[in-house]
Amino acid sequence: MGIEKFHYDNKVVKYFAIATVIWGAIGMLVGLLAATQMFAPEANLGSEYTTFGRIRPLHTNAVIFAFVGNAIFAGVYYSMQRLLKTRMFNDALSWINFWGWQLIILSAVITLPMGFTSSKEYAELEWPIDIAIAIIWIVFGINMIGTIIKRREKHMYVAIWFYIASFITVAVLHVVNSFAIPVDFMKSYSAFSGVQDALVQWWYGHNAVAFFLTTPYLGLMYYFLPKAANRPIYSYKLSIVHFWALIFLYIWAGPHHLLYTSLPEWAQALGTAFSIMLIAPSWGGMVNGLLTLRGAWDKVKEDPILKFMVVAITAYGMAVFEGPMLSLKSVNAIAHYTDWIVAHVHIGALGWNGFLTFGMLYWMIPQMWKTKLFSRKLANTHFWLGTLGIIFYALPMYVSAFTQWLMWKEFTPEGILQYPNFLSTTLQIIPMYMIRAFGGLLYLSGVFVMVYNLIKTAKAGNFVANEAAEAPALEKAVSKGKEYWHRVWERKPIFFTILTTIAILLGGIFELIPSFMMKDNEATKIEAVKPYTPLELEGRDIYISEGCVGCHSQMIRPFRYETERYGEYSKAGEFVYDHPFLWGSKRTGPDLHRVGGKYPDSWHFNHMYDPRSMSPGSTMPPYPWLLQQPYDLEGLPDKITVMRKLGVPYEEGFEENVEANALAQAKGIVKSLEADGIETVPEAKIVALIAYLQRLGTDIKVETADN
Amino acid sequence: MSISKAKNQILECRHCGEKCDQELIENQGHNFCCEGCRIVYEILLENDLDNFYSVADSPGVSSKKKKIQNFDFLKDKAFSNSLLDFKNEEISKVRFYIPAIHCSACIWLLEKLYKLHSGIISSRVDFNKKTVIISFKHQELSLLELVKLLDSIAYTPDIQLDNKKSNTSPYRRIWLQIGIAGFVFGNSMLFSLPEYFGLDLFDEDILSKIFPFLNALLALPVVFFTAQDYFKSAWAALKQKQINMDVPISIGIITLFTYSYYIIFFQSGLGYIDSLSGLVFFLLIGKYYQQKTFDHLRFDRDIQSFFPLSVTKIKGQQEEQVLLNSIIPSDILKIRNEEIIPADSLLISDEASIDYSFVTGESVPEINQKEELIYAGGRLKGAAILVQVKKSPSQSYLAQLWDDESIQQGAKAQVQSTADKISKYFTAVVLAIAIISFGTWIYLGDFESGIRAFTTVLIVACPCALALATPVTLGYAMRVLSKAGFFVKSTQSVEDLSKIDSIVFDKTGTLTYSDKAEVVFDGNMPEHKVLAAVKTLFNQSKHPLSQIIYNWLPFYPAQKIEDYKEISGQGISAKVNGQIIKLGKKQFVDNQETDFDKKASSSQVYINVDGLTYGCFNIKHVFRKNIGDLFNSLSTNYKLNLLSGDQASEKEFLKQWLPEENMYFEQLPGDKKEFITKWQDAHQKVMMAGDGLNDSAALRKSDFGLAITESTSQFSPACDGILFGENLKQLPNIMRFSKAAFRLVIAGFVLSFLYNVVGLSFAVQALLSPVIAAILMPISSFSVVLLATLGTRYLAGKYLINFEKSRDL
Amino acid sequence: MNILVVLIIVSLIVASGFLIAFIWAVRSGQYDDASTPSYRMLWDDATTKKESKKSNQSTNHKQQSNGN
Repeated sequence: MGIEKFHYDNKVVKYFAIATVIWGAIGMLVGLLAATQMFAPEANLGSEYTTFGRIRPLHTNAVIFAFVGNAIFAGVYYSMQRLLKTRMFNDALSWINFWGWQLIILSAVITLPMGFTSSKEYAELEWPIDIAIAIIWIVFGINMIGTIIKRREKHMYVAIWFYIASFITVAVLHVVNSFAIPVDFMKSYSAFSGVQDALVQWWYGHNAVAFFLTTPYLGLMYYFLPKAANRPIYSYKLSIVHFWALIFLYIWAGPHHLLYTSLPEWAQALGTAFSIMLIAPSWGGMVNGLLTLRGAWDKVKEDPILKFMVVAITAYGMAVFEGPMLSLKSVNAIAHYTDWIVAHVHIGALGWNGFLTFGMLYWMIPQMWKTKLFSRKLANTHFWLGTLGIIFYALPMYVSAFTQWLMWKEFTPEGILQYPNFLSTTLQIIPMYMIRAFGGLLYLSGVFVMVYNLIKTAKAGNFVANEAAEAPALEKAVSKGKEYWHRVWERKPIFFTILTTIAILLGGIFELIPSFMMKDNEATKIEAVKPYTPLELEGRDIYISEGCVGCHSQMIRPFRYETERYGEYSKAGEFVYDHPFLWGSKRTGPDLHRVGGKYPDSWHFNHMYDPRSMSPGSTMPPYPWLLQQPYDLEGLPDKITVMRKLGVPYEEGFEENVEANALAQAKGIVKSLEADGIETVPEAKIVALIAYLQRLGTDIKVETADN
Repeated sequence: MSISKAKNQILECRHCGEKCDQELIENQGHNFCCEGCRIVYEILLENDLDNFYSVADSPGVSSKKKKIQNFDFLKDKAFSNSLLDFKNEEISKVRFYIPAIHCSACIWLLEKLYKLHSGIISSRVDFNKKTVIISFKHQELSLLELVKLLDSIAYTPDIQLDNKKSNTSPYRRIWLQIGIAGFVFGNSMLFSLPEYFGLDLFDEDILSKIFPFLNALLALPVVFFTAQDYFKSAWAALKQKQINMDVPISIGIITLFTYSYYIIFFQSGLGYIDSLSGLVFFLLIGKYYQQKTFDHLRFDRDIQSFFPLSVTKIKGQQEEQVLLNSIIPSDILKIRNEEIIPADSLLISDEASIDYSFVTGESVPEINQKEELIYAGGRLKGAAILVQVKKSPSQSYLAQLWDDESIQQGAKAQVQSTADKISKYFTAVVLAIAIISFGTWIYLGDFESGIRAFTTVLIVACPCALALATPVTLGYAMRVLSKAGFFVKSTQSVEDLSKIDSIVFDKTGTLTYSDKAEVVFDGNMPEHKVLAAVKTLFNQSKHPLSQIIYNWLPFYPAQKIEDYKEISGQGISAKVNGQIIKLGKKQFVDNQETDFDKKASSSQVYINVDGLTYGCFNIKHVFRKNIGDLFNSLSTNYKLNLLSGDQASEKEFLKQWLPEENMYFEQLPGDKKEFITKWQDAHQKVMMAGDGLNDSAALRKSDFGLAITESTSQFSPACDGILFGENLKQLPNIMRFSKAAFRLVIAGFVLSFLYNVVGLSFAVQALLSPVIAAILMPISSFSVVLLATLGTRYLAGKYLINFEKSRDL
Repeated sequence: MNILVVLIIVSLIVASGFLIAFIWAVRSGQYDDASTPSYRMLWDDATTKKESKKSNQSTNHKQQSNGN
């Protein structure tokens, strides 16, 4: 009892902050590189490791998990200690969390360019890394919950609630979505297939955005905004209501990412409905944030920190309004597969996450170094560079989105497509891509200004690794004799959180077993649909590791302008053997679901060797290495076995003669290439890839426009 | 920040930021308006709590108006323990209500108390409630010392017996209920969405099994926890053969529940759990709103809380503190300056000046001589006195007013709220319709439609819109009013207020100021040098007259004074720059009978310097500003009367507005009550605007008792509403507002009736699927709530806009 | 669509986890006072400063504390 003296751990916060800045810069740099390749494929430096398909996931992962992730940790570790008036639960855990997380990112930086990917967006990392993520995340959780237990402040400030929610939900999502069966150390097949896989992926995909990019940042906003403005949040009540409303709704909104797909219609409707409902609580947060500054706008004018935060909150407001709009079927029809989505996510990422992070850093660093910000002026410069960057990024994307939509769906009076060649659209929007890249450049340069400013600031001050603090000990909850059971609760809030998590995981796993048994697909099963041949399977894995899904969808929606262009719309039954699904979410290039048999093998061969030889002006990079590199013949038996485990009906013992089977099919393709005067060997990756491409969508091939 | 201060012409106090106009103390380059503020500053500096001044500008609480209080009654173990929330071997926890809490710096300081005394473990402020919970080691620091410590930094706790009440929020339960209902609403809606959209849910046979089951599960907490209170109140009503709003609501809920279960388990449908939970959810929000409006008003305080909670009893030679209720007639009590007379008693000391201001509203203290009877509720001004108790507090004159049967529960005719009246018939009708349509369908041999018709009728007709109209409108009205400095007891009171057609005024303290008085000087004014001395001298005396005159006199620098004497009830004297100055009664200053003509109902203070009498100050009541306008604007719509306890001296003055026959003077409390009863028998709805406890009988008897006070601390348990004196001129607006607000309620009724009529007409034909019915229902509630809030806000803007906001915070 | 059942049940479990948390929060009085915390979080005071109680000094660290 009595006053206790203790120290806040600033060191780990410092490290996380530094990591945030470094990874942020790298992630955005990679993004810039990718953006450049969108109009100048040569920018891939002629290397497979820096080609768009492989660095796109690197960009997204680096920005989401490295930049935002570290920022979250920095902010949480800083604010949590002070809100709960205690040091973090355990320094060792803090450091495991830090170094573990950096190692994970490092491994991502290595494996993704090497083409090790599960191809699930924002969950590309392969299974060993997935496990590592789970472990480190749990470590973070334990550290956080431990801190809550030993807190000296009875009340848990609303920010803490946001942190807890984020932790639990992300843990669950990650675990469920990462269910996969390993083939070898760096290869696995998703436990789910086709529609199911898609559903899980976007249930994860949406909630990852919700609980990794949104709720933790709302927590940070509720801490750092009042701090920076030195005035209490506009309405604390509202913030509490805001939290619970958001939490009760968010989890359901996932399916809106799959409108017009083969997902059951009512599930789509459900996704839409809940997304719309989300507007209310989301805006509650925005309003609360902005009103906090009411009557202090003069302050905002000269304080760059507040400027950053205001723009961040506004961007949040825009994004959370745009999101539900996008989940309206009619709007979604336009936006899906186009650059609109890209614009949408970047308003969130650059505006909300980026700017709030910058504001946070500008405020936090001087605090911990016990000094003033080195240069307000530079901070302002950064602010304007960033803001312009966002504008130059978003606007062109909206323009190109509409161009894409208008040109894709345009019919001549005769009822044939106005622009039958997909390329014509691509060429149309190239200028937009250039401007977008420029926007990215501006934003990135702003970040470097910040780096300089912060380093100078740190140099000027002297860092306090352990900040002394004191607070009265928190005495045990005293309560009347009655309601004993509820007194027990008071002592063990955490006990419940943990219990819940375990329950979820068990429940989740338990519930998943039956779906492994695939009885399920019977419903959607189509007789004509057969499993992939070993060679096609191998080709598919090449397709995955090259990241083709980043630019090519495999999901034709039931619109005339799509069936005219690509052929019969996709049926759920066609994907039952797709582990993982490869529907894709963006059409930089044309949809490939019905590409099978559309072109001769030689076309594909030449096209992969040099796309522009087949389609002049194409922005697709060449893949010469596919012609040299051999695919992994020895790996095939295991893949078949795993697939069978997952319910793909390869008859027993099939794996024995898999290699022969594959080679036989390969030889066939080699022959057909020879016919067109192309020399190659059956073991070349290109052969497998061609096999796969030619198979695509042919199972239920019906008479479509193109033949 | 001190720089900005320096610019100002009049210096502001470093601590409390008030103007240093009466005195000015310099210390360490800072200015202070009074000694008290300087001391507080010192204390904070000593304990390095001076960050206090950086949390906000001059955040301190002024010590100028601070009353000297005696907390010795806390020495009484039994009593001080009764104040504690919790106590064990070494730790005690206590919760204080500290009116002075006003800004973030207060929170900061009060939560740093442990720096002021090692005995304090921790302290926690609730800013809204203005309370602080302190846990302290009682070996190191007694409750008394703790209170003195707080007093020393000008955060004087206001100690009431009811301090202990409500140490957990009364809202927890309803928060839970709303939260759970909302949660279920959201989730069950999720499971029902497919059906709304008429989508292919039932191709998925697993889901078609699981969803209804989950729904059924979700329904349980809603019905058995969140809706509980409705059942209870409905049951209570039924037991007294009454029907209130909660009866139909309960029936609606039960029907929905049972029918849903029937569907879920016998027809493998989804049921209407979402409608059920939605219904409850909206109802609860309405209910919460209603509850919320009550926390402004902590009325109906026990009369005891006006008294010191314990008193000094003289036993033989030594004094001891005893609990109030332990004293009996013939006990000898010692009353100190500013203490309250706990019971009717005989004055033993030669003389006492007693301020009955919150008994009669009379601001000029009454001078009592030895052997006179002095009354409970009076406050002693000046030197301490001894009294002998005649009646123990419970039977005292004030208590008698309370025991007056007219104050007993139910004395005020149990007015039934309009909503309840309506709901009676409403329920009956609805039930009838439901049963009839059910019967008809059975007769037509269509059981299915029968059930549907029955339920949909009850759901659609579920009178939640009705139930919401009153609490939301009037509740919101209450809030608006309280913001405007007019506190109403309950939504019911607002309804009563709107029906008033006749108003009765008390004079003293109602039409006149009870804390201000008019000072007139008769005779020849002394020169400034003398006046300076006089002002200084007045400042030495706690006597209210001295205070009034002191404040009335212009500013003079303080003078040095020698051998100060105060003969209580007589006057004061001292030597100031060589002159002997006497202030007080005529006979005190020059032992002669008065030669200046005596004014009625006014008190006089004479000045005598070196034996020469200059003249006297006349202190006279002042009528509130523009009461003329008040009467004029009221007289058009209301029958006005005046019932005063004092002599008719101001009759002439009041005649210009009130007809003579409507003014009654020298009325005893009993008589006032008689009048009101008489008028009420003549079917008038009477509002009594009075002040002080001796009106309480009348206040209670009237249809709306309005207490006029200068500060909310002066509660008057008898009344239905409290109005700040300075807002009296707003009374006409308030009346208009209340009438308008009530019309709004009616509008709400009409609206929800329309919904019901339309809905019912479809429902009886079984054309309505309960889902639609249940969607329609919350919509109706919502629109009513919308109408209520927006409407009230509009009216507030229309009538109350020119109100000055009440000055809390 | 077994998988929907899985997702819904998982989501539901998470949701009810939060519901429990909500119930705990209310019952343990987390929300009894929904205004003071928003002020309280504004100050993280350093430990007691041990310096001579000169007013000029006190004004000094007044300014610095104004700063942050």
